[in-house]
Amino acid sequence: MLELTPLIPALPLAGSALIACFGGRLPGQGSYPAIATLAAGWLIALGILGQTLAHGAHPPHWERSIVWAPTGDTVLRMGLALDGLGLAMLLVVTTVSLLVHIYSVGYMHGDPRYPRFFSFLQLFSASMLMLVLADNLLLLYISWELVGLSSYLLIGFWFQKPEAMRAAKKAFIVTRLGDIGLFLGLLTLFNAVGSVAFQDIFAAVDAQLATTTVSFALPLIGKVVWPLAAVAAILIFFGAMGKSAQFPLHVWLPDAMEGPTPVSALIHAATMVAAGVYLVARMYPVFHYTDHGSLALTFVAGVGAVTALMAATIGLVMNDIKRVLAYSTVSQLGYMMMGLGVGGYTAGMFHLFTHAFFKAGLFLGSGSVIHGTGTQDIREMGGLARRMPQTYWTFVLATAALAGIFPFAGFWSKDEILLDAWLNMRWVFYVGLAGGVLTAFYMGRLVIKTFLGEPRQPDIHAHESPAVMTTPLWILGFLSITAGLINTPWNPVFHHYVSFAQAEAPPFSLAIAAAGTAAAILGLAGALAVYRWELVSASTLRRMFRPLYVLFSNKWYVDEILYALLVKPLFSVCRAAFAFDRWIVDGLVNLVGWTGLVLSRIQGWLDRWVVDGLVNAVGYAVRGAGWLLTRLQTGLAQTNVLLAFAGLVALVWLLVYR
Amino acid sequence: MIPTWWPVALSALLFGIGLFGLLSRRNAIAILMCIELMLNAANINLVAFSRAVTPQMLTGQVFAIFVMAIAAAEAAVGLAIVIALYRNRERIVVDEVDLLRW
Amino acid sequence: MNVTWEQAAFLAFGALTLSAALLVVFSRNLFHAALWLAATFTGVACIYVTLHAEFVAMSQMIVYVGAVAVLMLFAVFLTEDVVGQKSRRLRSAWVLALPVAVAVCAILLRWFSGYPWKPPVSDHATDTAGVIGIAFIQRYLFAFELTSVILLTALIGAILLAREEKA
Repeated sequence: MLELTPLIPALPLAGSALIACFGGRLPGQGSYPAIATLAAGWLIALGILGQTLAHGAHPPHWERSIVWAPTGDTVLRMGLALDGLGLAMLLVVTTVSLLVHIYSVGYMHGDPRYPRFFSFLQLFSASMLMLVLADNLLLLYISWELVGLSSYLLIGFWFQKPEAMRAAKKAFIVTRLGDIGLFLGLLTLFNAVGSVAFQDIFAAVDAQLATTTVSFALPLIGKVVWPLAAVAAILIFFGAMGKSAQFPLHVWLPDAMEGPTPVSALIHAATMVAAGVYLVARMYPVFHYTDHGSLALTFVAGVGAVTALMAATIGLVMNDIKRVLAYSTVSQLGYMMMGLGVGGYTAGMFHLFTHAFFKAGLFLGSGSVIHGTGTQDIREMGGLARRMPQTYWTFVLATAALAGIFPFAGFWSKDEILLDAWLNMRWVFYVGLAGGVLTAFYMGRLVIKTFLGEPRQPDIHAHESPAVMTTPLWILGFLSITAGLINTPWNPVFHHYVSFAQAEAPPFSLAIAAAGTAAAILGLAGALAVYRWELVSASTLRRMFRPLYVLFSNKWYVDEILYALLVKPLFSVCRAAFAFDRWIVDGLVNLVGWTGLVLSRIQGWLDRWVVDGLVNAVGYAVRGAGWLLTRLQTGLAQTNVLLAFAGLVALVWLLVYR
Repeated sequence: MIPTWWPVALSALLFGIGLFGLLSRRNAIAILMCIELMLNAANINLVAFSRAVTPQMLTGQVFAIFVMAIAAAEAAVGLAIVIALYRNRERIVVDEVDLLRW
Repeated sequence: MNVTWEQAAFLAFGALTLSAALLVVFSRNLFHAALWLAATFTGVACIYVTLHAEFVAMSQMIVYVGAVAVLMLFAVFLTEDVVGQKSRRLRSAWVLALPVAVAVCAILLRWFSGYPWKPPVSDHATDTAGVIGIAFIQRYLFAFELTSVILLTALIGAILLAREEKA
């Protein structure tokens, strides 16, 4: 079964090419082959899981590589590897991707570019699967960029909408900012280790990367001396920040909601945005080069905490159903980073695992709502529970999971993060707790405003979505309940597969679990109080906390700050460069050109009157001589003979008498 | 004994006369006659050399015979050309035969 | 200066030959020129005799006087109004031709007559016809045969050139 691993990314890749070439003529306009490739990958991943479970739940160790670029002494190898972490990611990606593929059959029905959509989805799936199977940083980076490309293509799928086009560009460019860091990190490690293979890098961490120090100057902080590992880790983390929408590079993700909702579910909730988390987990030995208090991990935790809290506050005030979910995603990604940052390797990845299912469920549910109502604004919704009961119930299940209600999936994973935070970094724990309250609040608000109460917009005649869409919803709803059960304190299966250095799971703490649950209930109760029971009206709250409301609804002005800090200076530089180019470079070029022109003129004049003159003079001379000689060419044989003998005489005279 | 330079000098004079005629006469047949004079001059030379250089083998005389044969052939062809020329032009004045003119 | 009979004969025939040659060149009448040509050929034949080249002299008489000179006469008859000959003898270029001819003549005299030739030996071959005949069929057989081909070719060519065009 393990030997079939390469097929998992290869099949969707082939499917992508196939659909791109013959999309319209394939069964189901290409959707059936696409689903088949992912179903096959999913079955292979399940088979591997089954095999390993049957053999005592030991994580698989499989790797295959080929010599890819032998460059002198450095031989770059390319290959795939599968371990517990990879297997967990494989299961997440294949499952969610398969469900999203199925869901898309209904959601994208009737779209003029239906086959193209599936081709892109396949490309994304293949890239994402390659990313999680890569055995070296370079292949990971390639896949990383490929998922970025797929993301760009899919956000801009409805490119006739200007917002979609802008969002696609924004997503691509903002994530690229982070990718620069990732690439620099890659180069740093390659330079230090001489290999991009993960195992070579990890083998060099303790001996080389942690002991070698580099000193450089940081703005605001001044001169610092850091271990090479910390520098590389933080550079790599910049990549993760871009892809996983961490503050301050999170701004692309809410805008990415312009893409089709299945895309939002797959790429911008469950898998691609989790790639950053996966990257940190994959490179964890580099991050974790000394101990829990390592610089890089603290940085990760800090960024994660800021992101989690800030995104949650913005989620409170958004009115677009998908944007609420997008900020929720950003917030949850912050949670995962927090978990990794505080040393909760398993906890962070576990939250990724559970979050993928319930957030995909939420997005697909929101897609179902949008499909049924034709709007994304929750102020125009309301009372949809009766019209769309299946969507409603699955949405509630996923919401409960996200809020962290016992025994739903989110409870288990969030609890682990809080536990690790409590043990290692106390302030992160409080941030997490606050985030939990906020999460529960905004999710409660979303459910209440969308599904409960009376329809606020009578023009909207909502209808339940077809079975092809609700079935994935139910499956994800089911997983929202059960996904957490694979890593309960008394049966930590997930922990067996995904753990760092065989660390034992921290002992379960009832107090922490109670605190988390209390936070969730508090948030939900608050939401009910405000939006359902209307003990305090929302507008009163808005007035009371006006500065905060303005701050939140303007998304903490991150876009504007980024614009002022990055885009405007960039434009200024561009303008300066343009001016430089225009006046100095062009001036020089023009000067050169003008000089050339003048020289050419002179040369032309010389050519015409001197060179041509000489040539013409020669010509005229020859012509004159010829004219003279033609006098000799009388055509008379006698004259020729006369000349011949005259020549003979002249020759003899010259040779003998001179 | 006739010294060798006597016939050679005679040959030179005869050649000069023939050459002058060749270059000066207008009539094609006259020109042919002058060519024959020059060929005869050459033959005198050959016979004179034969007597001085190879008196036993008479190589020069053999060459003279060959030259005569060639001269006869040349005369036949030349006259045929003159006849053809005459048939075309009714005149055989070489001055007017200038098709090779530029 | 002792002039032998042989030498005297040579000088006499040489003078005759040169005179006849000059008349060939300067005869206004082409018919006369042809006759003087025959005289020149005869003079040359006599010169050959004085040089002890009897066979060549005989050939000269047969080929040149008998064939070529007569051929010239026929050609003159065919093309010229022999009686009413009024055309100019010489081209105007004779002014140029004369120095050239004189110069060539002078060169030949200077470099060929002035060359220190070996004096002719007395024990030369007497049976010239026999020696030449044997040379033709032995040493110069190929050239001899080739000459016959040339003559044949010239014959055919002359006929082709001179024959009446069929209208």
